[in-house]
Amino acid sequence: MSDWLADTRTSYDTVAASYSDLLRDGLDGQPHMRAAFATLAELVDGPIVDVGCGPGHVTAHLRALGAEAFGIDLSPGMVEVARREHPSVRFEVGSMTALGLADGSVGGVLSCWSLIHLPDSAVVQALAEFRRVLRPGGVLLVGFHLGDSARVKTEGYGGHPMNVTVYRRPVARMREWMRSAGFVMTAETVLEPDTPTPGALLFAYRPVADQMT
Amino acid sequence: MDAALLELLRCPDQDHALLAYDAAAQTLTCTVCTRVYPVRDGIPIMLIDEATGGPGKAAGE
Repeated sequence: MSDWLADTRTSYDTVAASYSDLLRDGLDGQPHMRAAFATLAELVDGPIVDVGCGPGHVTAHLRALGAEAFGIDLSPGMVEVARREHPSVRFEVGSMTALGLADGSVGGVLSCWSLIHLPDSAVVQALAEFRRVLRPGGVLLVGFHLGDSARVKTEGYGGHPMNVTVYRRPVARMREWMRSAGFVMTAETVLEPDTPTPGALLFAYRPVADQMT
Repeated sequence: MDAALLELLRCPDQDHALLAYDAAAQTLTCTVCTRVYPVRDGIPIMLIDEATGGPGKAAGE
């Protein structure tokens, strides 16, 4: 496992319980996020994989909307919390750079601020995996920190030690990576552009008749 | 382990091959590379680094 992957995994194992507590009211104050998840649930027929699901609150939210959502996270600590909090939802431990899922097996992929810890080359690798596991016509929703910076985060979620890099990326760069991976863009939402911590939600789909293999 | 999830699961290595589920041993074994993935408390651990068996690290560069 690459150092950054191992560090990310250990970091989120460390903060799993606190992180889950902090997110307990999760989506209450986030109407634009909820709208995006509702759109995803409406667009997708079939399973939706929440990649980098953390404590599973979004996975559970999608299920409450009627979607066949399940979650994958690199951190066994997070998955343990996810399963405890949401016993009826399916979770697995895995890496988005090498997903343990069949080609064309899901109708939707959600990456909710999970690409933010990946270096550029790994983002490209992960997007290729998202495309591989999506069936033709399948929908991808990517949420991420907007900006253009990389910062090492050494503690978080109540002062717990962490060692992860947090990347902020411009929409144009993420869009180009998604297009290069074989996706067609459908919608782009910028969240909180007037704050120091803006975000973006990009919708795309895997075309039915794509040329890539 | 959940049957619907099992149906979607494949080996995370390049072949993305079918897995054989051993309910007694709580393992998933790749039918191509023979790596064995553990299932802990119903949670499949689909990480190549945590698999046992299969091609050794020396052989697989």
